[in-house]
Amino acid sequence: MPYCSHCGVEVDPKATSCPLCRAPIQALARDPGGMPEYAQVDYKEEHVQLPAEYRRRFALYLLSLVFFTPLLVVLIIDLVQNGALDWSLYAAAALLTAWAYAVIPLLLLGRVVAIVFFYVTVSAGFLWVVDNLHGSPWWFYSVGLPILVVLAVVCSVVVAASLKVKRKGANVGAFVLAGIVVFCVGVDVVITMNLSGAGVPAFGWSAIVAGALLPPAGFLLYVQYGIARRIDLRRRFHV
Amino acid sequence: MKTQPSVSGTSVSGNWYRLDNAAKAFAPALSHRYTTLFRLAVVLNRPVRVQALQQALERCMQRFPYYQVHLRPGFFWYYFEENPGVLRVMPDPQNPCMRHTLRRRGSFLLRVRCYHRRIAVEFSHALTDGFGALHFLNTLLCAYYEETHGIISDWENVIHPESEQDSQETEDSFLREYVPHAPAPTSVGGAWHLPHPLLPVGLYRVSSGVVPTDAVRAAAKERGGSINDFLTAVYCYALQLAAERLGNPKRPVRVFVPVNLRAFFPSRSMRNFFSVVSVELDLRLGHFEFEEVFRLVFYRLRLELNKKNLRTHLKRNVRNERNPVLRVVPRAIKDRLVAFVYRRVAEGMNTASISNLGRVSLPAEVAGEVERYEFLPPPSPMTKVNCAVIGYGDEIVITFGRMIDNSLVEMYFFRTLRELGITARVHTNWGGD
Repeated sequence: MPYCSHCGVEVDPKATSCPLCRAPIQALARDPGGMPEYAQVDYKEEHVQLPAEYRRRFALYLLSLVFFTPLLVVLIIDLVQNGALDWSLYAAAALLTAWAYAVIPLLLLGRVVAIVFFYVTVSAGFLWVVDNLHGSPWWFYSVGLPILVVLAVVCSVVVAASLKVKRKGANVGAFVLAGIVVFCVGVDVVITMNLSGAGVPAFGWSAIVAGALLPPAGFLLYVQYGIARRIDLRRRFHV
Repeated sequence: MKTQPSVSGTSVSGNWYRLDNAAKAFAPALSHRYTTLFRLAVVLNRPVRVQALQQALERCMQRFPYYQVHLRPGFFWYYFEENPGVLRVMPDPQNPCMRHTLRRRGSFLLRVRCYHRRIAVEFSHALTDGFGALHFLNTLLCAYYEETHGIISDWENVIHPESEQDSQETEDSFLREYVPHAPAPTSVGGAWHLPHPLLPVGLYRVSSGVVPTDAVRAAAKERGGSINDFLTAVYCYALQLAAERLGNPKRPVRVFVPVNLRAFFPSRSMRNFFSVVSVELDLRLGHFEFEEVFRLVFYRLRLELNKKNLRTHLKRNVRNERNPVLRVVPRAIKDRLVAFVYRRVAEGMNTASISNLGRVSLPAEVAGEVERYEFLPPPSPMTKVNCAVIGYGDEIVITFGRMIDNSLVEMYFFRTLRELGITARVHTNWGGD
C-alpha cells in the first residue's frame, strides 16, 4: 500500500495524490519510518461546501425575508395612518414583483425559456395590478401589454443572437443598439396608435433614435466583420 | 422527574438542538485564541488508511446526529442546526486545536484529523465534553478497524455505529439535575497566572509525557490516594515551583479539576455534563512540600466530590441561564456579556486545569492495534498552560498544551515526577522530540 511522505498515512494503491494534503504520492514499499511525532506544517482549513440544494433553499428564505419584511412594514404603516390599504398596495405589488424576479432563477435553475416566460408573465401581472388598483383600467391592454411583448421579444432576440455568434465582440454591441432601435420604434407605434388617437401606425421620435443609433451599430458590425477579420485588434490594443 | 424545556425540534432546515448549559458559555466565547477545541487522539501500531477512515467516519456520523450540526445564531441564544455537509478527514497540522472556522455556516464543531499512525478528533466544548468525545473516538476507531480488518465480534462498552440512538443522549442533564432552591457555592477571587506573553495566534505548544501506569499507581498507593490525586498534586507542586521562581505571587495558585457529573448523577447525555472543583495553594503561607500538597489535594477532592456539593455547582451554572432578565436580552448583547464573564471572570479564577479521562478500554480485537491514547486540553489565553491525562494499557499519557513560549511548568512537572522515581518519555510538537 503506498504512503504519503508528508502525512505518513496509507492511501489507495491507485491514488496519485494524498487525499489529505494533495501531495503527490511516491511509490514507497514500506511504512516511512522515522517520521516526527507531529506534522511539520500547518494546513489552512478548507471550508465545508454545503450541498447546492441547501444553499438554494437558504437563498430563497433570505430573499423572502428581505422582501417581505418591508412589505409588511409599508402595509402596517398605511393601515395605521389611513385606516385602510391605499398607497401601500402599489409598494406591495412592486415588492412582490421584485421578490418574484429574484426567486424565479433559483426555482427554475438554468431553464432559460421557462425563466423568460415567467419574467414576462410576472411583469404583465404587475402592470395589470397597477392598472386595476384604482379606478377603471384603461392602459394595460392598449399600451402596457404590447410594449411588454415588444420588450420581451427584442430582449430574447438580442440575447439569442449574441449567444449564437461564434466570435463575440463589437457585434454584441451592435445587436444591443439595434435592439434599442426596434424597441423604441415599437413603443412609438403603440403610443401613436392608442394614445394620440391616430389609430394608424406612425413614426415620430423613434425615427430620431434610429437615426442616431443605427450608424454606430453599423460601424460596430464593420469593426467586427470588416477590420477585425484582417487585423488582430487584441494584439494592437492589449493592456 | 422535573420538567425541562424541549432540547430539540425540527425546523425547515432539518433537526435543531438547544445548546446545553455549558455550551451557552462556550459559544459566545469562541475566538481565534479561545478556540474551545480539545483533542483526543489514538496512536495505532501502523499507518492510518485514509479512505477507510473516511468510510468509518461516515458510518459514525449517522449514529451521532447531534454532532452533525453547525452553530447558528438565534435571536436570544445560539442553537445547533443539522449540517447538510459531509465531514471529511483532514490532515493533522503541527499546531492542533487552532485555526478554526466554527461559527461559519456549514462548519462542523468537530474535526477528524490523521497523521501517520495517529487518528485525532478535535471537539469544540460547545458540542460535548471529554466523555462524549471519547465515546465518539472509540466508535470511530472500531468502525475503522472493521473497515480494515473485519467484523468485531463484541463491541463491549463501545457504541456500535448501527445501534439504536438513545433519546437521552441529547438531553441537557444540567437542567434535569438543577435544584432551584439549592445554594450556590461560595465564590472565589482571582488566581495567580503565568506572566509570560502569548504566542502569535495559531500557535499551540504541545508536550506529551508517557509514563508507566504501574509506577504512578504505586506512588499514589504509597500515599494512600488515587492516580488522579497523585498527578493533580504533582501539577500543583510544579505550578508552585514556577510561581516561586517567577516572583512572590500575592494571589493563590488554584488548579481546576473537571469532574464528570455522570459519575454522580444518572445521565446518558452525550453533550456537556461536567463541573469543576478546585484545589488551592496560598503561597503567602510559605512553601508547601510535596507530601503536604498531596494531602491537601487528597482531602480537598474528597470534600468536594459528593452529590450535594456538586448540586451547588449546578446551581451556580444553571441559575444564570434560567434568569428571566438574561433570557430576554438579545443574543448580540448577551454574547459580549457572556464572553467577558467567561474569559475574564471564570477563567481568571484558576491558574491552570488538569483534566483526567481515566483509563480507556477497547474490544479485545482492537486493543492490540492501539499503541496509546492522547488527550489535549483546549487552549486558554488566560491560564496559558493546561494539562490533560489519559491512560491506555500499561501507560499514562500526560499532555500539556500551552499558549506561551516558556516550558517552565512542564519542566517542573516532569522533574518532580523524576524525583519521585517516575521517568517520562516526552515528545512535543515544537521540536523537542
